[in-house]
Amino acid sequence: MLANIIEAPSRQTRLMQQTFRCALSALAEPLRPLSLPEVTAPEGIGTALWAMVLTLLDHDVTVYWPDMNESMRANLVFHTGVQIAEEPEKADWVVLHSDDPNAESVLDRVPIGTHERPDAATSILMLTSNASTDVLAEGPGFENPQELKVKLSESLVYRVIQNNQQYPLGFDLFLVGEHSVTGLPRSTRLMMRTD
Amino acid sequence: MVSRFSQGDELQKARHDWLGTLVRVPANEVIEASNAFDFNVVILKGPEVGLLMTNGRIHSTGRPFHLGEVSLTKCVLRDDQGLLGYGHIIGRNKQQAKAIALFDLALQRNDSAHAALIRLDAWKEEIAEIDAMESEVVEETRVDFFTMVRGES
Repeated sequence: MLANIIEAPSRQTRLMQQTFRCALSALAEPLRPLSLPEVTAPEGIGTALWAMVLTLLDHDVTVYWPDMNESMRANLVFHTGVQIAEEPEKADWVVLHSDDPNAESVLDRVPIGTHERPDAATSILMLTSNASTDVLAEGPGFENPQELKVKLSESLVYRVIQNNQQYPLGFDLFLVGEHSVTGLPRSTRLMMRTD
Repeated sequence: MVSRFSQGDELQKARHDWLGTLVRVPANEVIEASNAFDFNVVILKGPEVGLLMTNGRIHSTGRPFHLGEVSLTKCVLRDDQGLLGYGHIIGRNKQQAKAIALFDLALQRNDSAHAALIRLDAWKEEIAEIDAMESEVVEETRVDFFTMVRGES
């Protein structure tokens, strides 16, 4: 029945405090990968993503998560109490895989906030892998343009550039790797390397 | 099936009833009684203490407002048959929350439900007695308000 629900991590409060610190630092220092604490995750969810999800989602927010199976859903709802949004338009949080062919159309539909409430924008947890790229980034939080060391498809990069143009509106991205998280807030502008 | 309930909503209804009783039983009684159940359990959550925001309404019809936060302790257990036992209480007594979760399991399982139900019924009676006594006390000072009909012939 519900036998596949996993146990809550021991010392959960400490784990969540550490993860929250990482999430804040990730947005303050974009492009810098930060190691997340290790945690036992349910099947189908990576350890870094599970740490982020446990920390950031609760019953006050909604999440849109395509490709979620029954056991993932059961664990997510049991441990966080989060409300599942059926459409991206209603989501406070979105969990996406960067390989998902529908990723861009989901990003087109998420709330980007209003000029009165730019904080009402969605935050995206995007599952990615690390790789060197031809993408440079600039913006607050670091001095010189730096290389984005996370694999994103070209069309996703253009989607993020498009997001930059809506500033101060737009979504914020957390690029979640296997054990680390990299912040890409809306204030960080991406560009293709031309040299 | 190891559970007494095959339908989810049947269980939910019954559980609503017994959890409502269990949380009113004095902590030491429910803790002591739960020692009788020797299940093989895994602790899925807690017992952990958190805060819960309570909402109030003036005259139960006005606009809701935040009344204040209360501490809440919760515990979720799973037994070797995959059943889940929930114990949520207002307050910070972790043992009590765990004991209620154990009782919740016991009331679902075929092997222990009989003993647990006897305990539960005894508590239910006690609580009903206390409620009756209280409403008697309240009844003595009851004032019935009514509106006088005026200006009508």
